[in-house]
Parts: sequence; structure tokens; C-alpha cells
Amino acid sequence: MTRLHKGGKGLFRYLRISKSFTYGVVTIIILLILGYIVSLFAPFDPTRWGKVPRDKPPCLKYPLGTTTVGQDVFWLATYAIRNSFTLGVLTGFFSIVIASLMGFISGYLNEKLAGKLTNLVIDSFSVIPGLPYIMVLAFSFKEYLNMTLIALFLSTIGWAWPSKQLRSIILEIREKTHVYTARASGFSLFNIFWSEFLPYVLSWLATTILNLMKWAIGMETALGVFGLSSMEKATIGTTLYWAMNYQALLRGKWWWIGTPIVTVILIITSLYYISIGLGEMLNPRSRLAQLRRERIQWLKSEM
Amino acid sequence: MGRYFLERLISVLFTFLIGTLILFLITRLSPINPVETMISKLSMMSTTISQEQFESMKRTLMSIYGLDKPLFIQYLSFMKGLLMGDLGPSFSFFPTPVTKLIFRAMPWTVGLLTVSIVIAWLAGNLIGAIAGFFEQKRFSKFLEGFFLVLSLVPYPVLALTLMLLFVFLIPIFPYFGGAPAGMIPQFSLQYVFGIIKHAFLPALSLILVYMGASVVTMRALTISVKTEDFTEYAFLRGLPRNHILWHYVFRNSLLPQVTGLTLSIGQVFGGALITESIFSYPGLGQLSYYAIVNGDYNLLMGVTFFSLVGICIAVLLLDFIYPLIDPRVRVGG
Amino acid sequence: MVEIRNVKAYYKIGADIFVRAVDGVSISFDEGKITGIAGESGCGKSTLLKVCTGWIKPPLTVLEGKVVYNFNDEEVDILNLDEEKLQRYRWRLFAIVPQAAMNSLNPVRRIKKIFEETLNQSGKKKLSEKEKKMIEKVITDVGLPKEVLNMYPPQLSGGMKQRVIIALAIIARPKVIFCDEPTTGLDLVTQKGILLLLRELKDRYGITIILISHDMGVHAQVTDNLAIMYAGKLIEYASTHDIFKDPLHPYTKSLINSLPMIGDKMQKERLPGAPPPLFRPPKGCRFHPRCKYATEICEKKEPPLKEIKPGHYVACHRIGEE
Repeated sequence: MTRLHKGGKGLFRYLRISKSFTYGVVTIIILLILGYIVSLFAPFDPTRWGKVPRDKPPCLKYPLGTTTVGQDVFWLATYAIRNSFTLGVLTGFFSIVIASLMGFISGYLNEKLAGKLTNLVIDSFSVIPGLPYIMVLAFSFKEYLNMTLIALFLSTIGWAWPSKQLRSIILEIREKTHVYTARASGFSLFNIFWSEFLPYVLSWLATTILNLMKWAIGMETALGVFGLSSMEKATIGTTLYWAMNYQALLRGKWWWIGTPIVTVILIITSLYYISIGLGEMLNPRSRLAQLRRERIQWLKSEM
Repeated sequence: MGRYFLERLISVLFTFLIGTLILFLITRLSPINPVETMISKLSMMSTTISQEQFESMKRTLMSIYGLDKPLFIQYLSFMKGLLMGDLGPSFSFFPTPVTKLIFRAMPWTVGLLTVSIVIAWLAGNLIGAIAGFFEQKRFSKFLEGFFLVLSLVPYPVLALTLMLLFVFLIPIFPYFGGAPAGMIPQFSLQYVFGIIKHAFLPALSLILVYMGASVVTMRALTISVKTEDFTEYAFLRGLPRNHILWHYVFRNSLLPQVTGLTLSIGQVFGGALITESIFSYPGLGQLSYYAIVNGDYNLLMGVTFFSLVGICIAVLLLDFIYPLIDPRVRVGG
Repeated sequence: MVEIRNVKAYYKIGADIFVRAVDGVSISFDEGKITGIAGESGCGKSTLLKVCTGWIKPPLTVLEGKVVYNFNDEEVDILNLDEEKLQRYRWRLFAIVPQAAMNSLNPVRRIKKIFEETLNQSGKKKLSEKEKKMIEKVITDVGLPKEVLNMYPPQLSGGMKQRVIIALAIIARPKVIFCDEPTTGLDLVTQKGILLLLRELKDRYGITIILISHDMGVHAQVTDNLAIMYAGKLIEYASTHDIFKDPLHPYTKSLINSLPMIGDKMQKERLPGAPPPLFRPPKGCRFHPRCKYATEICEKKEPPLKEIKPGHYVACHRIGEE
């Protein structure tokens, strides 16, 4: 209990210390509000064509301008943000499930055949060029594409890196637990799991989810450029696709292509800074944690 | 050391097998029936195809997608086709075989990739090492922040931004193509210069993103190597700073970076595909774009397969080079 | 040879929290002798070494004091030199055999190259034949075959690496060598070999050696003089023979008592408590919380280092009075 309590206090202190973390949190909150709350107020489905006058640059009525096919860029953006987050979270979820399984097997059973085989599989997936495969998948199922399906496809590749990391965490813990189990009796295995294993796993979970979200959103952008995203929905990738298709750049309609670009950069950078901040707070080996330990030691001696 | 090579070879072969297996599975699981798609597409162009061509194509398709035989046999004939280089004809450029199209596009992609990766890796590691060595100085922190943001930008976004800036806003670079249009390929300076001009922006977008990642990881690596015992000991012995920077810090941080390169090649390749299609650069990227737009299943599969092969070869090459720079592998100590 | 005059070196770990690793230590090391520094972990021995060799990196700061090297009729205060001058003295005047040599050698560099770069400080391109011969000689001096020169550090065992480190320490013919726990982590046979090597080096080349170790057995075997440190202070100093024959400070006594000896049948007495935290040392004599002879004055006033017998210094209130 005290640990979580300390963690909560640590969050606010860290907010004050780290500018980049603050930027990340603030931006994400704004984006989430835009994506999940503001978007509910859209007067009409932003993906429908011809709802608003075409090709209008940003003005008071249409703060981010309109597209060549008569869509309001602002409302498109809110929907796109929502879809991006949904995609990110889903990809994170699916990938972590797979990664946990594979990471555990290869880490725990490292000496046995199952472990070695799993490790080979993990390494293979790490090397395979992800984008072509995902393109083939998306192409094959073009009719059925939605955020969930894309998330699934992305997860078939996205699990590899996190799996590698989890594996190395487990291998390290195993080195340490041998020392413990040698001198303690069986019950402390649970204790060890809790005190030694869990902090690293929590830290890995936090950073991995955020990394996967980042990656997934970036990949969707790439798929969008090829027209392999969910074309009727409003996503960052599809907005880029349509903008490019209608030669937005050539015709000087910079707001149509600029909005998805800026949005995606905001999402990705804020996710990154949050992941770094969380990593520092949760990772038992980070500098922050070390400083905290030293301080606690000193405080204890004062008593 | 022989053991090292054996291990690496097995690993790469395994990767190849898994990659082709996935490809195979996708063809079986996808709702697209390539034979039917082909036939429907071709019936639209029926005036240009003779009966024999139609039949031979159907046969190829049946053997590649041998949909009437047991799964395992299908797999074997699939692999056989792949290994013999027969990927079938392209739908959109019928009857040109997919392999021919790919080989035409491949040099462009390989050239672009190799140049970009080499520059990005070398420059990135150099800058990262210097930034890491002078960890406290302001320019180091600035460099890290700058390249960090660069590494986070998705490839399409950077490519589009560069296009916006240097093709439209300040029209220096051409909009599309790989070589000056209308010129016959020759070894003249003008032609070569034209190639560079066309490749500049695509290469730049690849370089910037990958360099971003290199700088950040190399900096972190350098900082950690700086605190190693052997670096301290070199300092204690009064060795000159440049010597320590080069022989101790750089040489040791470079090793994991080479391994890192092996793992990132797949990513950068993906980036190349995207960048090429945005800049209409005549490589595999643009080929995939055509394939998708025209529903050319064969071509897309072909590109994927060749990507796999290309990456496996590149990884194997890197694995062979690694012992040259890491003596520990050479002597097995 | 080396004089340490009232050095205070602290580690800064908070806004005003200092770990007082070396708190007013004065000592001098005789030329051509092996002087040992003994004490528990965390008593400040390693910090003293860092101060003596100008190895001052934050959060370590030197608050006051001098470290003076006397050689060739010159007097050099290491702490007062700027980095450039200090760099010239490094390895030429003093050398270090650092703790835990396992990772001190660059794993991607041949041993031969490591020697060459150590000699080649000024950046000359090629080494002379004489210098190459010197490297070979020094390798054989430490008891290693010449083939070692062509190998890479990961190929060597722990003991071999330690010997290489010692060879590297003497190659530039320094006047003083500081050894920090040179035998920790090695098996006993190798330990003995290293210690004999050190003694041989002293005899043959007349190098002044300062040996830091928490192992009293090591000191008994090799050192000529011995200094005992506790909680950042020097509490006893005499020739090794005198220390073992007639230890005066209670702490020294318990250190020696902890050594197993042949024919010993008595239960070993354990010293209660633990060394005090160096960021809040106890008032008065730092040892008084654990000392069974402590009196009132021990709690209030810090005992100065006094010469009780010729060449035998102790910092203890009770000894002075007897």
C-alpha cells in the first residue's frame, strides 16, 4: 500500500521536475478530451462528403478549414484522434498478450527446447520486415478493415520487440532468484515475485503499451498512405491518403495535409515523453529510484 | 568462431522459413481468391490474351495456389515456386512476370537504402558518441532532444514535410521519378547528377529518421560505456582524451550498435517503401503502391517475398562482418 | 615520500548532506616501503586513494588539506595542480592498481596495445625497440608468458588480469603505486602469488607501495607499516610488526583478534554494532558507541593522534593516560 501511495506522490513531484513529462501529460489530456468528448458534439458525421463548403482555408467558422470533398477538417481531426487512440490501445493489448506468452516461455524455459525454439521465433519476428507483411494482410482483408482488425494485424508483428525485453527481464530475475531460493524456503517464492519481479514487469508494461501505441499510430499513417487503412473512417492515415489523392499539396490546401501531420506528431511525442517519465518513476533501476532510495535511507537514519 | 557462423546461419534460415510460412498462410487465409480475381481481371482484357497464355497462367496459378491439393503439398509447391524464382505473372502488367518487375525496381531501392543506411548509421553514431562523451554540455542535450523528436516522426510524415518544404515551397527538387525524365541512361555526369537530385529527398527522409534513432541510442550507450571500469582506468593512466574517446568509448559502444543495425533493417526498409511511394521513386515502394491500387495480388506477394530475402541476406552479411570488429567473437573468449 | 596533511574529502549527496569519507587525515608514507591501510568497508580507504591520486570526480569534493609528493628534491601538492599539470604526473609519478581489475582492461584491445598506449602518453607514433623490450620484461617480471601480449583481455583469467594490471602500473617506472584491494576476489594461491610479487617489486625497484585492504591477513604478510582507519579517521599507525605485536587501539585489537590462527582454541570475540553512517558520525571519538572501554570524555571530545611510542601513533583517550 505504501508503495502505491509513494508512487502517487512521486507522480506529482515528477510533474514539477520534468518539463517534458508535463508537456506529455498535458498534451495527451487535451488530445483525449478532443478525441473522446469534443467529438461527441460533432454536428454531423465528419466523414460524409459535401456537408460543408469545399476547400475553405481555416477561418472562424471552420477553424481548421475544409477539404476538397466538403468535410470539416476540425471534426475529422477529433474523430481521427479517437480512432488513433483506440487503435493504439487495442494494438497494445493484443501485442502484450502475445508478447507475455512468448516472453515467459522463452525466458522461463530457456534451457529446454521449447524455450530455445520460442527464442528463435522471437528473433525471426524481430528481423522480418513488418510493413510488407502488414500491407499484404491489410490488402487481403481490405473490405473488412476497421480499427480492431488493423490492431490485430499490427499485433502479429508488434509483439516481437516487447517479447525480447520481457525475456531478458525474466532471465535476469532468474539469476537473482537462484540465490534466494537457495537460502530461503518455498514460501518466499511469492515474496520474491512480488518484490523483485513485479516492479520490473510493471515498468515494462507501462513503457511497452506506450511504445506500441506510438508504433501503431505511426504504422496506420503508413498504411493510410498506401490506401490500406480503414478508408471510410476518419483516421490520420486516411486523411493523408485523401489529401494526397486530391493533390492537396500541389493545390496549396496546406491545412488538409498539415492537420494530420501536426496531430500525429503531437500524439507521438506526448506518448513518448509520458513513457519516459513513467519509465523513470517505475523502473527500480532508474536514477530517480536511486535518488529516492538514498533519500529514504538518510531519512531513516534521522530517526 | 565456426560455431558462431553456424548459429547465425541457422537463425537466418529459420527467419526465412518462418517468413515464407507466414506468407503461405496469408494466401490461404485471405478471403481473396487470387485465381478468381485474376480471371475476372483478365476477362476484362480478354482481347489481348491468347488462349494458350490464359491456360498457362491458369496452370501457374493452380500450381502456386494449388487449391485442390492437401495443405502440406500446397506448401511444398509454394516453396518450390519461390525458390525457383517463379512468382507468377503480374496482374496489372500482364503478362510480365512479377520477378522481372521486381528486378527492374530493386536496384533503385537497394541503392537508396544502402546509401541512406550507411550515411545515417555512420553519422548518427559519430554524433551520438560525441554527444555522449560530452554528456553535460548544453549542445549534447540539445542534440539529443533534436534527434529524439526526429526519430519519433513516422516516415510518411517526414517525407511529406520534406516534400512540402523543398518541392513546393522552395522548389529545388523534382516531384517524382528516379532519374531525369527523357534521358537515356548513360554514365555522363549530368545523368548521375540527375539521379542524385531525384534521390536526395527520399534519402534525406530515411536518413533523418534513422539517424535520429542512432544518435539517441548511441548517446545513451556512450554514456554507459563512459562509466565502465576500463574507461576510468584509461583516464587514470593519463591517456589523452581523444585516444580514450576513440579506442575505448567509441569502439566499445559500436558493437551493440552493429547488432542493433541488424534488427532495424526491417524497419528502415518499411520506411523506404513508404518514402518511395510518396516521392514516386521507381523502387519497390512505388511498385507496391501500384500493386495495391491495381489489386495486383501476385506483385504484392512478390515484393513481400523479396523483401524477406533481401533482409535475410543483409542480416547474414552483417553477421559475417561482426567478427571483424569484435575480437571477442573471433577468439571465443 | 608522500605526505597527506589534514585532508578532508566529502561526498555530496544532498543539498547539505555530506558523507565524510575522509575527515581530517594526516599521514606520511615512507619511501621504498610497503604501507598498508586497513579498515572495514566504507571507512574511507578508497576515498583516501582517490584523493592521493587526484581522482576527484563529483560528488567527491576536497574541502581542505594537501597531498604532497616529495621526490627529486621537489615538493608537489597534487590537490593544487591544474588538470594539465596533473595529467603529466599521472602514471609517471604515481600509478594505481584499482579494485576489481576484472573489467579494467578494454575488452576489444590487445594487451600489447594496452601497454603501448600506456607508455605512449605523448602520442609518439612508434615505440622504440627499448620500449618494446621493456614491455616484454615487465610481463615476465609479473610471472606471465610473453604470449599474453597478443591476447585479448576476455581470454585471461582473473589472476592473469590482475598481474597485467600490476605490470601496467610499473611500466612507466612511477615512484609510488597505490593498490586497492589487489587480492579480493582471487583464490588463495593466486593471492599469495600477487603479494609476493608486490614485495619483489619493492625490493627490486624500490617503489613505494601503498596497499589498501580490509584483510588483516594480507597486511600481515606483506606490509612494512600499517595504518588503521575507522569512520573516516586515522586511529592507529605503526610498523606492521608493532601493530600485530602490541595493538593499542581497541578497534585494532578486535581486527587482529578476528584473524584465525593455528592453535587457537578460544571463541572469537565479535565486535558489536556496525560502523557509523558517515553523513552523521557520532560526536567525540567515532568508535565510542562500540567500545567497551568508553568513558565520558570519549563521548564528548575527539581524541587526537598522538605518538605513544616512537613510531607508533594512536588516537584514543585511554591510551594516552596509561
